[in-house]
Parts: sequence; C-alpha cells; structure tokens
Amino acid sequence: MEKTETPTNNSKFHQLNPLVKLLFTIVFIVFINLTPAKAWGAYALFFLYLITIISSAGLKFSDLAKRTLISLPFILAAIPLIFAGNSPYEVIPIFGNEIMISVEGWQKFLSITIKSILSILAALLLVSTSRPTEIFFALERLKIPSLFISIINLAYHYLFVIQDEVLCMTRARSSRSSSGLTKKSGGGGLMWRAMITGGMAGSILIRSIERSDRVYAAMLSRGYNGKTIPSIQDSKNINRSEYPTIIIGVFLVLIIWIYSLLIVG
Amino acid sequence: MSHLPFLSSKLMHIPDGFLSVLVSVIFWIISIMVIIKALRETNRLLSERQLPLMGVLAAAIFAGQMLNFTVIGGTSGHLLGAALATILLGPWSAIIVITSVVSIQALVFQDGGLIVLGANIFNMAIIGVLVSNSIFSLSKKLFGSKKWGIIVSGFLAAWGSIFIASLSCAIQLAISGTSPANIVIPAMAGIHALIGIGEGLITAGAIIFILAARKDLLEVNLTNSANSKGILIGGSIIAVVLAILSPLASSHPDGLEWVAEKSGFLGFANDAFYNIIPDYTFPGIDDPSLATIVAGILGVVIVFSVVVGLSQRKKQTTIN
Repeated sequence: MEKTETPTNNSKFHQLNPLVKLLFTIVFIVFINLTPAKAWGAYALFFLYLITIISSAGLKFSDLAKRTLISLPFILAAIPLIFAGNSPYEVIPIFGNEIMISVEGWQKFLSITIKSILSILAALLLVSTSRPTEIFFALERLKIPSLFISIINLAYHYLFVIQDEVLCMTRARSSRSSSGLTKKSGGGGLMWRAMITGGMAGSILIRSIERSDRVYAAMLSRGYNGKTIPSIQDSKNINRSEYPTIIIGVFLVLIIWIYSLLIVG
Repeated sequence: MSHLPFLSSKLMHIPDGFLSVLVSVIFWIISIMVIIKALRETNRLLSERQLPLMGVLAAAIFAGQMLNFTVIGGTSGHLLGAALATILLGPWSAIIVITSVVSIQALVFQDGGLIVLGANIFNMAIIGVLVSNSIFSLSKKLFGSKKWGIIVSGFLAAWGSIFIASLSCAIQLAISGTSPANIVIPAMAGIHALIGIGEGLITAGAIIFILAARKDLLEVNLTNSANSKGILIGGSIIAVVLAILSPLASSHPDGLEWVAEKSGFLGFANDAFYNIIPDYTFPGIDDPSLATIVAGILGVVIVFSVVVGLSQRKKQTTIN
C-alpha cells in the first residue's frame, strides 16, 4: 500500500478550505453518476474540467492516472453487459469464432468504466491536495459524530506503524522459508500456511490491543478526559471569500450535467 | 505478493460508478441509522479506554489485510477481519471499527468509492459483523466453550460473513443494472465461497494463537457476547433472507428488473438509460453455476437451521 504523499506545493486549490474541497468532490462525483450512459461529450467535458484543476494545482496527471487502476478488478463485474444487452447485436469474429456483442451493452459497459475512472480521479484530486486529517476534520463540520472522527483519526495515525509491523512479520516469515509451498522448501501444506498466517494476524491484534493500553495511558497523562480527542487544528469555517469559487465550481458541474441530458435525451 | 486481482478482497470494495445514485442513497440511509445506533451502544456499554482500543484495532485490521498466504501459484488467501473484530469486541464496537476501516480506505486510498461508501459499509461492516456475530454465537452454543468449538465457530463465522456480504454486494450491482443478476450473483457467490475459506482459516489460526497467548481477551467477549437477542436474530434474518433471495433473484431476473425500473423512474424519467436489465439469456453459464450457488445456499440454510434447532434444544435441556 503506497503512502499518500502529503501535499507539498501550495496552489490555490491546495489552500482552499478542506470542507469546500470535500463538498465539491462529492457534488462532482454525484453528478458524474447522475449523467446518463452514452453521453460521451459530457464525459469529455468532465474530464477536461478535472484536467484543468489537476494541472492548475501543479499535480502530475500521470501519477493520478496510475492510481485509477485500483478500480480495474471491479470492471469484471460489468463485462457481462457486453454480451447480455439488448439487440441490435454485432457479430465480431475473434479467433475464428463469431461472438455476438450487444451494441447497447457495450456502450453501457464503456459508460460505467468511464464514470468510475472520472469519479476516482476526482477523489484522488481531493486527497492529493489536502491532508487526510484535514479531510477527517472537515467531516466533523458535516455533523458526523466526533467519537467516530476520533476513532478514524487514531486509526489513521497508527496505520503506518502497524503496517510496518506487518511488513516486518511478513519478511521474517519469508526469511525463514515458512512461505514455502512444501516441507522440502521449509514450508508446509496449505493448512499449515493458513495457520501460520492466522497466527500472524492474531499476534498483530494482541500487540495492537496491548499498544492501545499504552496509548490510553499516554492520553491520560496528557489530560484525556474520557471524551473525544480535541481537533488538532480547529476545522475552519468556510471563508466568505471562498463562496464565489464554490458557486462557479458547482455551476460548471451543473452545466455539464444539463448538457449531458440534452445530448442523450 | 503476487495474487490475481480478482481473488483479493478488492472485489468487495465497490468503486463509484458501479451503483446507481438511488441505490447508493438508500444504503447510505440504512448504514447511517445502524452506525448511529452502534455509536450509542458503544458509548453506553463501554469504558473510556474503548476509544483508543477501537482506533488502534481499526488500524490493526486495516494493516492485517496485507497478510496473505499462497493457496496455489498466483492466488492467495486474504484477511478482511469482520469476524475477528466481532469476536474480540462484540458486535456494536466491531461495526464501528470496520466502518472506520472501510471509510479510511475510501477517503484516503480510493479503495471503494465515496458515494457508494454507504453500500460498502453496509456490506462489509454491517452485514459482515452482524452475520458473523450470529453464526459465532449460535455455533458456540452448539459446540459449547470447548477450545475446538470456539475455533470452528470462528471459521464458520468468518466464512459466512464473507459469503453473505458478497451476496449483498452482488444484489446491489444487479439492482443498479451494472451486471445481470443471473451472472453476477453466482459469480460473486462462487468466488467468495472460496475467498471465505481463506478468511475462515486465517481467523481460525488467529483464534488458536489468541487462545494460547491471551486467553483472557477472548473470555471477556465470550461471556459478553450473550448480547441482546435482537442483534442475534437480526443477523440471522439478514443471512437467511439474502441466502434465499439471491438464488431466486438470479433465476428470475425479472423481479430485479422490475426493481431496477422502479428505481430508475424514481431517479429520473429517462427510459432509454434506465431500462437496464433486459431479458438476459446467457446460455451455458446459467445452469451449472446456478446449481453450485443453490447448493451453497442450501448448505448455509441447512447449517443454520441445524445450529438454531440444536441450540434451542440445548437451551431447553439446560432449563430443565
């Protein structure tokens, strides 16, 4: 799992209130998903819109594009649409066989894939221009219970520490050949390998429970009162000067969406 | 760490674009209601050291999802962790912990979408936890608190949580019109029946280790998880309904087509776009995989009814 790079440069988009960015991202993704299938022109406009923000924020598109691949396995779920859609069908010869492909199903499949990639790009734009903790505190502004925010925040803080532990353990396992597939290579059968992995999971959990005792003691020593952890930087209210940006940003999304309804409907 | 992508836990994290907005909103509402209830229960039941415990355990389960073992060249078993969290923390706290894991994965790592996050929370955190809670409690009643009984219960709970959650995921995809019901339901169920075995074995291994190293951690919740009957029955009902609904839906996609059309009209009246599940005919795939899934689900129902029946009888004898 790659660490998300903390935002380094300071474009205008970086400096926007994280709550504004979060809300804009959600609005953007919702309207992409409300866009009908086969609205190719609108998809292109949404893409152009994203590219404009990405480049003006000084981010490299190629870095973001790589990470959109995360949705790749899921595209399998939509592939049956290609073959099972409505008529008209087109016959395509592949390796001497003739395969029936539904035109409508194919277009729907392509639409879902494009929408998914656009949504992920928008979400990536959010995380590459704001720190995760900023996003969590922005959630607090959206009336999400602060107990929950505190837990997420703590979990995120300890994630990398515990991930290092897991990596150490995995390395230890492979250095002792216990990941071998047979007894000869120092390993064991399938059951044995599964039980070893289970033992590792168990020991990570026990270590973490013991760690949480220490965390609790440390929190107490710093005056933890049994309530939620106070926000490190109090999440800021949306600044008045940011309203025009929000309105223009959302307005553009709406225009693209209406355009999509016009060209398809 | 080579593994085929489609055999990893990624298949349960739906990205944005794959569920219709209406379906996403409905599952957001359900998930929010359950999470609020869970937060209240956690607040009420548990001491103040629960906050750091839940936070660090969420991190541990997130990190533990990196653990894998080779099954056969190229494919590997993974951990999702809903059952382990339930066994260690009890259902309400486990819901919060897994919800945090899934939320961080979506917000920070784009593993799962933002507007479909409600549906992902519903599948992995709510169904995963409630179903494993019910299976674990019921089969523990059946086996008693012998050591092997706890281990077997852990395996069953982990397998059941993955399997039933995948059914829910498949139904959401089918209702949204992303994938035809008669293909996506058997496919998801088949793959996750296998993934569930990996999850079950890792969970069992973890329980063996915890029993050996810190038995006290399990004992607290073993007595504690004589929890309210409502949540136990709720989890069982979810499991049974999904197990019965899925083969029905995949053999009669018309029903789901009707739902999809309805939800399409509610979304906005765009007939061409939302007339999404036509009369699929997909010769060849239909029958054999359907047969497997029906068998799998029958298995679940039979195990469930046997376990429920036996535990009822056991209770009666202890009362007498």
